[in-house]
Amino acid sequence: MSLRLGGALRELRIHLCQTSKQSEGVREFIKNNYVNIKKENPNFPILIRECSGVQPRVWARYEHGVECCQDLNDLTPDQVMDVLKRLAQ
Amino acid sequence: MSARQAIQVGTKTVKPVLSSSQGEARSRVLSLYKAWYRQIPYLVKDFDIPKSDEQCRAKLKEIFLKNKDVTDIRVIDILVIKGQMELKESVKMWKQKGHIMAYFKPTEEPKPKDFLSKFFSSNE
Amino acid sequence: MLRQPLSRALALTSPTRAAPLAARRFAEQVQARPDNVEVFIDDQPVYVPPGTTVLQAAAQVGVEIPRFCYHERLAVAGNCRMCLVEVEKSPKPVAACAMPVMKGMRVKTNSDLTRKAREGVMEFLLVNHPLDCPICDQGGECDLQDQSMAFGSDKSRFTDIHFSGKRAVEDKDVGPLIKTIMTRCIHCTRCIRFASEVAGVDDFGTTGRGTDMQVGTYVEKMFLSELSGNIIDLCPVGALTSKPYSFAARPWETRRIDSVDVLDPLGSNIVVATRTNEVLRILPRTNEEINEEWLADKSRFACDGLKRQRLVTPMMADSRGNLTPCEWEDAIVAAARALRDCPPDKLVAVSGDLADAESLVALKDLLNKLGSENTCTEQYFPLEGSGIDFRSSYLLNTKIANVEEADFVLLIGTNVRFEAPLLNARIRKAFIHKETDVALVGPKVDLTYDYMHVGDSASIVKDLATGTSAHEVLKRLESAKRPVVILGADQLKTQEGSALLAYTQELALRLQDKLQDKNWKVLNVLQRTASQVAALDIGYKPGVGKVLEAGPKVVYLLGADAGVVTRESLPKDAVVIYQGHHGDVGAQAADIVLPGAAYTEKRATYVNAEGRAQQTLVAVTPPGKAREDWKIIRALSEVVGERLPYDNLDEVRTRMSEISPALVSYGDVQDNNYFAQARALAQSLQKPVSGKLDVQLKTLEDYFMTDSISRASPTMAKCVQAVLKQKQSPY
Repeated sequence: MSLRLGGALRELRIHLCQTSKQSEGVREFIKNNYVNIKKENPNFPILIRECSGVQPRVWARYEHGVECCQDLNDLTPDQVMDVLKRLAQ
Repeated sequence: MSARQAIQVGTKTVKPVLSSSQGEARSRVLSLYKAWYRQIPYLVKDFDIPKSDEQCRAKLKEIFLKNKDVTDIRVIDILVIKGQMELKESVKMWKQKGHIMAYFKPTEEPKPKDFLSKFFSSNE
Repeated sequence: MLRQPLSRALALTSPTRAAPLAARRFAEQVQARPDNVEVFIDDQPVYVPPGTTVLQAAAQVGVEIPRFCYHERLAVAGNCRMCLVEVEKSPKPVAACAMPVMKGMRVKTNSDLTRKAREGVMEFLLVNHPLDCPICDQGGECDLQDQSMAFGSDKSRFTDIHFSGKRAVEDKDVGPLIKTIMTRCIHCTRCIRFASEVAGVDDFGTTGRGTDMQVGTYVEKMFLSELSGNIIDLCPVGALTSKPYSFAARPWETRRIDSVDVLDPLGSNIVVATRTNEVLRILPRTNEEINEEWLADKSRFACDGLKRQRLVTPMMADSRGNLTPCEWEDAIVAAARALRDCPPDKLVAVSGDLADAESLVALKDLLNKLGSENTCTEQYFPLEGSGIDFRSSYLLNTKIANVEEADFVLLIGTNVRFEAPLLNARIRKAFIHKETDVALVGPKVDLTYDYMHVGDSASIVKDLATGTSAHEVLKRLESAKRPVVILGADQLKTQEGSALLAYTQELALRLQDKLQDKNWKVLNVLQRTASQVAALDIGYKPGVGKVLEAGPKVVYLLGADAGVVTRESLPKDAVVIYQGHHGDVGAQAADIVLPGAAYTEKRATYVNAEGRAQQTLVAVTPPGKAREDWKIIRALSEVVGERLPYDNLDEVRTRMSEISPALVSYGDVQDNNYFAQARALAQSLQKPVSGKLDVQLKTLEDYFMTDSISRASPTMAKCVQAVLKQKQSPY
């Protein structure tokens, strides 16, 4: 699964909980896909910030500080990938 | 039944101070305003205030409009009573020039309200 | 009466936040429930595990037995005799602090015999105690005063005062921090036990016997420990007091504000005592998970640096290049003009040692709005591989409190003693009580405990990681049930830094995968400053090398005083804007100076080395025209035209939670995962390493002046001089 990050997208932040059920998909996603995505985009900051009890979300920061947030509650890893692909456009 | 009890808890009937309806309170306010308006030329002459009639009238309007959002009739009545007391003191010359000039607050600087002015003026 | 009731100190009846060792559970440490013994304290039954002392059992009931020499964190001495209580069927009163309970013991803490014993002990203590209360610094917070009022008698029978008088003892010189008036000493030996057990510097002892007994170092020797200030808290009377704070104030005059210390990366909890808007002294606050109840010397005594070298007005460089004071409006407008006219990729922000999370967030937002990505920290961390994506790569994953449960500790390129003294105290605690062994890769330094010195070349780490080392340390690491690897962040500065980190990650993960306990984390990276973790959490790129090569036009220094950015390294026409609280290296190089607030003067968030967010509270107001840091950046943003969307602290914190929710979960530490992913990316970085590991702080005189506040402190300067002088002495 290739994901080209760059252009107007400057930074991705993923918030997740370490134990809750809603973040299960995000946790699986990071476990399986993070390494590949990072290998394709070696200098792109994909900050993974875990905090217990928090709703899983992804924040995308574009040029000039414009930010976009997507909820990742109860999504499967594939759905998470789709969200990221959409944000990367 | 519980709805009626809820409404009973939520509302209260109280004793009126002076007026028993909005209309009565409104007419009291307007007659106070007119009394002050008519007294202004005499105040300016008697107290020898360095302000013109126009300025005094503008200040009167400003002070009355400060209370424009009050809805409680008893509060309006109390404010009218206080206004009448001020008027009596001014008419009978129990006040002095300084008291009348205090209405204009000449040395009060307006407090900064937006972030930048607050930042430049002090550490708050 | 007592400084802290025993029930709270032992956390016998309180939630897990203050719970001691017993509350932390590990997989193979089965929570053994020994048969509890029933004891009667004042006819109240209480069930305690066998081995607890009468004093602790009474504390569980809520009965505080008075004492001087007993301290929860030190070994039991039993020499003050103040804790004597009557036990039925015992001919003599027993020392409650030393007597273990027996089944069916009936203890009477308020009987005639007990009261007579207490009055007697107090009478004897006061016989030779000087009448110094009016001039003693401990007045108002003195255990002797409180206990004599509560338990002593009203009359004195000391008739010898008219003949030979009271005993007097000479004062001892133990350094510029501790004032000793040994006449007041009651020989409780708490200082001796602390110096020998917790501080590791075995210099204190007793000389002589009976009336002639003296506590001291025997030969005039400075107490060379970075935890020396704690004996001031421990001493129950005014024998050991703080020299910088002497005769300054009485405790009831001061206002005490809880806060957090930022001069070392652990974020020890402190109490700032102030009076008339000046900081008088800093005392530790108990936090079982970070600093227990100790506090390092720099954090305690550097507070007089907050009064010197302060930036109190905004300044701008005039035509001749000298900084002259100006008004806020002028400074902000000039700074805004510089920011607006600068091309986005040539705009750089550098954050320093003591920057708080709110201002870091505001600065990053401002720079991103202006189109620049160059937000950096002074301290470097390798960005190759997974870089700062995973929090587990740059934090102490075994939390500070859990380090004392470890059974083997490997230190790589870090002198923990001076970089994080309280972490060293924890390792020493494990070394003494749990027989933990420690190995060090790096220069040979004195860590106050014995360790295996494996060597100081970086290739040792490579050998350990790949399993090819011939040293016995490898065997010990692999057989340990709870190993801990601590890597100093300074070692990652060099070219080989990323390789070193990669090997350490490899080693730690190899050890972690074999462990039975799934919750134990092995890898730890010890950062050097209090602001680094927050900056990396927010997304600052560590290290200024790359951005300086590009030749920036505007450099915004947020308290950057480590000297990494100098005027020479920048192009001639660069504009340097410095925002900070002390006139140190950064302000010297600046063209526009914006005065900010120090850590005691603002309500700010700092994240400590294990990833725990804590907040400091406002103890005093910033001096002169100084403002809070994030407000300066917000005002600047409005004048530049890119207004930041927050106007008060709550809105800033909402924004912080959008960036990383861990930044606003105060007091909690998160478990961080994804070691395997970080290791997978680091595999390709495992290149051969050849350098030598060296630490910046080798000996005690290096410890005292490391950041802008401690460099401005006269007390710290005196300490450095005293340590150098002590080195000349033959003892």
